[in-house]
Amino acid sequence: MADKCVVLVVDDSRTSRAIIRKVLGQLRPDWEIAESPSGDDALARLDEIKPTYVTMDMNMPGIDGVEASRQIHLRRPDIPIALCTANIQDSVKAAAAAIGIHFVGKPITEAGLAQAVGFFESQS
Amino acid sequence: MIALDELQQDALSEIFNIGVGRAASSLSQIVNEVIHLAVPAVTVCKLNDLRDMLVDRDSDRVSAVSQHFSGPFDATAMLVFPETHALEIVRMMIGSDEFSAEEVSEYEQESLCEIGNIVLNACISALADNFSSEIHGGLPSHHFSTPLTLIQFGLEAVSNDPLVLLLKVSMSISQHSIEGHILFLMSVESLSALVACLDGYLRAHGLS
Amino acid sequence: MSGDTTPSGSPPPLADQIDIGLVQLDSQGRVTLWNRWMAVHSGFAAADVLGRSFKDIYPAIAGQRLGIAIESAICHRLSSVVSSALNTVNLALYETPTNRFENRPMQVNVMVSARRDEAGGHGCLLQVFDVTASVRREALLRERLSDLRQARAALDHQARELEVVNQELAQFAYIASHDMRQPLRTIIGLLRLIEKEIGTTLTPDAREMFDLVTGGAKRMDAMIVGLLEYSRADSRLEGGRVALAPLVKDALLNLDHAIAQADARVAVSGDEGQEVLGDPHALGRVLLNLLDNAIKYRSLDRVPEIEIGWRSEADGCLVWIKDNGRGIDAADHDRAFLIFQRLSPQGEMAEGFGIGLSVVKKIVERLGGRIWVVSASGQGCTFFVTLPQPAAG
Repeated sequence: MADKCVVLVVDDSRTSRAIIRKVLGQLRPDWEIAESPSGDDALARLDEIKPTYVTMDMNMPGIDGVEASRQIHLRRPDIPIALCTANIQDSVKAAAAAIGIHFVGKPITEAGLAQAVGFFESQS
Repeated sequence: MIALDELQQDALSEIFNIGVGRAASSLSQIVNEVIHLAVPAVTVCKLNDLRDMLVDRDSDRVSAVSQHFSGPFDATAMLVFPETHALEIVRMMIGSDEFSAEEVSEYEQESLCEIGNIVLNACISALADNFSSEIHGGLPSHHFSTPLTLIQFGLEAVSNDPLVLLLKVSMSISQHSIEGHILFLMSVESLSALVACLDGYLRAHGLS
Repeated sequence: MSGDTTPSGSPPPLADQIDIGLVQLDSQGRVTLWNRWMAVHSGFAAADVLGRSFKDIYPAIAGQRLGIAIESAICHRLSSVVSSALNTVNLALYETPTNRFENRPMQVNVMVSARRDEAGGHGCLLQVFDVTASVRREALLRERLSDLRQARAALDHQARELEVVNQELAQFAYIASHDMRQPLRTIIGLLRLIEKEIGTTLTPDAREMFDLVTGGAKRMDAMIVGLLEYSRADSRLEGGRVALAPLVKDALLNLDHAIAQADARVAVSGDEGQEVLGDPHALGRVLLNLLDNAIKYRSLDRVPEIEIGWRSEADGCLVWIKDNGRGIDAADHDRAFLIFQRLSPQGEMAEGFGIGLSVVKKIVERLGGRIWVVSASGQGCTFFVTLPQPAAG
């Protein structure tokens, strides 16, 4: 792989971003981590950051995680996205599946993120 | 008076959001509707400041589910919604007809009690899990009340000028949303203990 | 169960005396207490379930709210309520054996409290409440309420429709009568002028015909006025307490001239303090009209004697107006109250205050009262009116 792997972590909670960053750092130390506090910000800076993968929080101010993911896919269908949320009811899972994104339950665990990483790498 | 800094607020907010997110899953399984719950803000305030915060413009009456918790810190927790909003939600959940607030049945009150129980238990277990602590929770009770009565109830339950860990909560069911609050009434000692646990959690994640 | 193990003479344990199901589970979820209520309604004796895992006895609760609540209590020390409102808690509990046979289980609420078991581990206590009766009662109440609301909505709808119809009628009557009086006035006016011009030159036959024409026109005008008054008779009636005596005095004052002309004797009897409920103007017109009739329909061969009196009765204030005039034949009593009925023979001019007994009846009934007449031909009339009165005290 010539280019460095960049993961964009989108979450309105600083704590949550820090936890994801920490766990990802343990799973894939060579990956670069970028952060964004909202879906709107992530979309605005998408071309600037050029992420390889994206983790997306569900509940954020502004557009929610599913909508932000959908819009990212419109511009960059090649980026695999993992949706992180504590709310695992069927309707949310179905909405995510409909746009082909992976599901990660909250609270973030190493096992959960490992599965997401597996998903990311399988899509390349 | 204890104040939370931005990082502490952010961490608590995230913990509680995970908690209520799970509660939303449980609730939606029960009633087969799309339910969302979120905690947009966390602050600490004094009990007396609550009076104007808990109601909406139209009425003074609120629906309150309260539970007592004990462990590394003791708290009386309450889920409070303006009465009319609470009834709207419960009626959407159990599909009952449009009756006025005066006609609220036992049935609906029991539902409100259980809904509050699910939400409050989820919040506390999120705290307990993240702080690696054991917290004991008592049975819930539901009352229709006024902020003044709740404040008095709080003063009796938690002596010594209680502080309130105040969460704004928003709940939506099938596109219909209501705003309310979750209160944790605690003594200064208990809140300090909670903050100590929180700081421990932040350190464990390399955040402070 | 309890009867077997309790030594004779001492009362059964408290848990067996209460009307709630009580189950205690240890930290492994095994039953350590199963009270009499549970035994009776579940069909499992305590001896059969003690020591067994609750989830094995009721496998259906796994993944359901009750199963989750028990786990929550044992693993996380959190208490819960599981209500029948939000869940179907099927613990296969039956009120009676017949219910079991007919597959009608109890609806229950379960309270799950986290508490320590005897060994000091984290167990829980289940309290099971039978809420079937209250659920049924509430469903019934809701049905009733729903029915009542539907009925009321239908009534409201009808009332609104009636209101519209009434307004239309009132409008129609007003416009029609208003427009109809115009040409009549022209006719009556011109007839007068014609009389002035040629009155003296008319033959007796022509004179008679002329008078009939004039009389007809005037009578028609009076009928239109009467129609108009009838249509307006129940609009804008105000309620309130009214003293009766002054109203009667007023009416008699208005008729002073007619009384004098007829040389009539009028007697008034009744409590000065009597009050009735209703619109004073409407009441005044009722009295005026009845008294006027008493004078108008006098017998020409005797001195008219008119008596007006009132007294308070259980169901209202009774007012009577008695005269010694021509009277009304029993067969005509009902007809008297119909619109435009005239008791005097055709050809008599309609004098007086323009409204008939039909309007009087309408007003009286609108005020919440009743009117009827007692009379016989040649023997005078007594008109009775009951009017609502303020409650005693």
